[in-house]
This record gives sequence, structure tokens and C-alpha cells, in this order.
Amino acid sequence: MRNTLVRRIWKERSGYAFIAPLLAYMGMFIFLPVVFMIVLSFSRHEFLRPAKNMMVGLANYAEWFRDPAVWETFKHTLYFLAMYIPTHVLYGLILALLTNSVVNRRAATVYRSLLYLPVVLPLPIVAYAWKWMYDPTIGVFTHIIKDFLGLPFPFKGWLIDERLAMPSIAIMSVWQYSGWIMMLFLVGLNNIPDQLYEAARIDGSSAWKSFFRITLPLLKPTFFVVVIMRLAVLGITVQPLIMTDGGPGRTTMTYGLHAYYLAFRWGNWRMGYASAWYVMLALFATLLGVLAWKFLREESVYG
Amino acid sequence: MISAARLKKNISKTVIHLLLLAAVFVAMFLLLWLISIAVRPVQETYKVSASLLPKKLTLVNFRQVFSELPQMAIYYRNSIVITFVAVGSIVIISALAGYAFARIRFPGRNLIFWAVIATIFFPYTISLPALYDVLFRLHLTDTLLGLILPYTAIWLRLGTLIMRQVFLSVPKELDDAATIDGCSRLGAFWRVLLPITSSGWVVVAIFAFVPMWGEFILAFTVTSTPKSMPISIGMKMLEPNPAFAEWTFPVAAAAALLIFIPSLLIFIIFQKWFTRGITAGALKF
Repeated sequence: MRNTLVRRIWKERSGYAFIAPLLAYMGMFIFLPVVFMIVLSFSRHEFLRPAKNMMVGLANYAEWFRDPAVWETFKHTLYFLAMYIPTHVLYGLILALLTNSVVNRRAATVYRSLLYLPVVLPLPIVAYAWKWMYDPTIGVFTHIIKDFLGLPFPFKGWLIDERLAMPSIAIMSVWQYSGWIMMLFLVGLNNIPDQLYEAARIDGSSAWKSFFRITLPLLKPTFFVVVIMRLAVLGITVQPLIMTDGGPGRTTMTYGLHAYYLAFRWGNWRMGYASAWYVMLALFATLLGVLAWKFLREESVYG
Repeated sequence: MISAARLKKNISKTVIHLLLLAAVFVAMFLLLWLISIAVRPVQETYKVSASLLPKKLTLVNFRQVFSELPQMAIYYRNSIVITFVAVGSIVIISALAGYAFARIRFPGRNLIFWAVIATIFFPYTISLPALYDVLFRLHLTDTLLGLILPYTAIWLRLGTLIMRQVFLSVPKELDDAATIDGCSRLGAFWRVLLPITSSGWVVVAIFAFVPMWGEFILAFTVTSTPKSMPISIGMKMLEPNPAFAEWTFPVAAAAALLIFIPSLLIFIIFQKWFTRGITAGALKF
């Protein structure tokens, strides 16, 4: 028994040679950091004061549970997600349905590419550019609202106003990633057989009815993919880092940004404690992923 | 005579096109606005209620990017070196691994494959302190290699997933035929399979390039001097600060456009591959 396994391994040894480079890179820069992160989360590890580093057991986790910043930054993140996720999923779905109903294939392709364009632009540069568009003096949005539309704008500005800073970041994110959601939904729409719609039409069902009875239920697997792919947004860091630095006050201090600053900006770079923040985030994201798997990942009902 | 039904259909068609045109305008707005700022003289940007369209056209801002901030050329070069080496490594390594996962039945294959793929769902930002510490111990912080190696590892996984799918779609008779003709496994891979999977590695290269060209947080953390900073960090140096230096604003817009150009070129040239990459099971479960 053992002998056959060894023989199989030896016979197919070229397989290991083919994946050796992959495993070397993965081991060094993905697996090792993940294991190391878990070790760090049980240590006092301050990058700028390494003499005091030592294992401290669960102390970091105990501090995490007592830290008011956890709930505070988590609330900010949830506020962002509550504005961002539903809006860009809905907008992406609408774009997918609209482009899908264009009969002319060429026109449909042009629409799709142009709508997808923001997705491929580099995120930090987009964030800077939006920051300038939000600027109260040189920016364009205040200008359009006040001068072109003649509407009142009762805020200090966009990113410098406590009430508007987080919504402004959410608007930018919706703008950048709706095209990607559109593409995912287009894949999902293509997987729905046309016969279903024809059958519904023959049965005298209206377009709206077909949409709610056929399209939406059969897009469930796509919703699952979207939810899974968007779990990473729980750790949102770059947008507030570039656009607001967590401000004004701490209104855009997200969980990810706070953890990042714990590790790389504040005090002696408390990497151990920051790792505990990240481990808890990873656990939470995994939990949500499992829930999505349970409730959304149903095999399609047809065929 | 136009029937009522036909008229209704035409109206709904027009409405759909109008809505889509509006959506396209919104999607393009950032680019259009940046262009309109970048091609106007500085004096036109700081007026209260400056017009949306420039009155005078000039390209001086684009030249100014490099004269006001000479390091910009270095940042640009760094970014090109980093993405070129990392994307190249990703194409080669993921083709090798994708082939092995699709074709060679070595023990532990599925376990290793899924262990690799499962890590995609945990963004690399989560282990950033640990990764930084690893790079620091290897003396790789603030070097180009310190970005090339992690970037390769990070976007290798999606490449491997795509290449495995691609090799699974190639009929098995092809490599059998090559092996019978006396090719070794590596020979069959190199001479027969690589050429016919070329569209696969184009997709891999695109999907590695796009996030890498705009990577910010790792570069922001690991680099500290211009010699290793990529262009996304260089942008920070050009940030317009109205209180400090007035001229920077249209120059910054020009710089942003210069950084967009490679992404736009890739997008225009490989446009249909983007759709194919998303459709062809890259993101399917």
C-alpha cells in the first residue's frame, strides 16, 4: 500500500517539478506571512522597539475585545458597505440588463467596454483624481451643483465634511466597480436559456413578471459570486488612506485603515496587535463567506 | 402607417440608448475632466467658477510633470521594470503549474491546488505586517525585487486558476500524440501546448497587469526612497496643495493621465480578451 503511493509519487514526479516554482513563491510570500501573522498576533511585536518583543499569549486578543476603536471603526466600515454594496450591485445589474437588451451586437460591445473602463484604471490614481474633483475650490462637483444647476450646497465640502466624507468615498467606489459587477451579471444572464423566456411569453407573462420569476431567481449563483468577491471590501484601506487619511475627525477611519496605522504609523508600529486585528477580520470574513455559501449557493433550478 | 406596438418598441429602444449614453458619460467623466484640466493653462484653473471646457489649449503641463519632478521618470521606469518582470514570471510559472494541475495525476494534486486557490479570498493586505517583516529580514524592503517577488506570488494564483482551465479545455489526444512522437513531457508542453494556449496566457498577463500597475498599499509600505518607488507612489509627490504651490494642479492632472495611458492602451488593444477572461470561467466556481 505504502509502496504503491511512493511508486506513484516517483512515477509522476514531473508534476512536482512543474509546480515547484509556484510553491516556492506561494510558500515564501503567501503561506509564510499568513503563519507568521498568526504567530505575531500572539506576541508583543513592535517593529521600532524590537528589544521588547515576546510571546504574550492571548493578550492582544484580550485587548482587541476591550478596544473601543474596534467597534467604532467597524461601524464606519459597515456604514461604507451599506452605501456601497447595494448601490453598485443594483447599478451593475441595471447596466447589465440595459446592455443585454441592445440588439445590435457591435453597439452592445462598445457600451460594455466603455462602461467597464473605470475598472481597469489604477485605483490610487483614481482616488487622487476624485479627491481633486471633490475639492471645494478647484473641484468640479460643487461647481456643477452651485453654478450650473443653481442648487444650494449646505456642506463645507465633500471630503472635509463629517456627514459627506464617507458617502463621497462610496460614490467613487460605485463609479469604479459597477462595470465589473455588470460583467459578472452578463455572464449570469448568458447562462439563462432563452427558451424559458419564450415559454413565459407564450404563457402570456409580462416582461416584468419574467424578470422577477425567471431572471432574478436564476441569477442567484451570480449573486453568490458577487458576495464572495466583495468580502475583501471589509478590509477597505487605500481609498480613505489617500482621500481623507481617516478624517475629518475619525469619520472615515475604517477597520482596515486603523489596523494599518497600528502596524505602520502610530507609536512603535505595533505589528503584533495589528495582526490580531487582521486575524479577527479574516475570521469574520470567513464566517460571512460560509454563510453566503450556505444561503446563496444553490444549484440552479432548471436543467 | 406605424402600428402602436411598433411605436412603443421604438420609444423603449431610444430610451435604452439614452440611458446607456448617460451611463457611458458618467463612466468617462473622470477621464474627460482630467483631460480638460491637463490641457489648459494654469491661470484658467484657479478662477472662481472656471469653465468646464478650456479656453486655451496647451501641452506644457505634460512637459512640466518631468521638469518639476525629475524623479517621475524614475518612478515610471521602476513601474515598467516591476510589472514587466512580475507579469513575465507569472505567465511562465502559472502555465507550468496550470499544466501540472490539469494533466499530471500526481498524489496530493487536488489538495495542493485548492490550498493555493483558497488563499485568493484572503486579500494580501491582511498579512501585511507579517509580509513586511519577512521582506525586512530578507533585506528586500525598499528594493525593486521586494515588490516584484510578492507581486508575482499574489497574482500567480489567479493565473494558475486560469491556465488550469485552459489546459483542461485542450483535447488530451494532442499531448498524447506529442509524447508518442518522442517528445518528453516538458517537450510536449513547450512545443505543442504552449503555442495553442496563447490566448490563455494573454488573459493571465492582462489580469496580472491591471491590479499590479495600480498597486498601492504594499508599495506604499515597502518603499521609502525614489529608487524603488513605483508610479502610484510617485503620484503622491505631485499632489496639488493649493496653500503651498499653485501650479501643481494641471500638472498633477497631466501626471495622472500619463499613468493611465498604459492601462488604457492594454484595455484598448486587448479589449475582447477582458470579456473573455471574465466569461471563460476565470471567475466562475
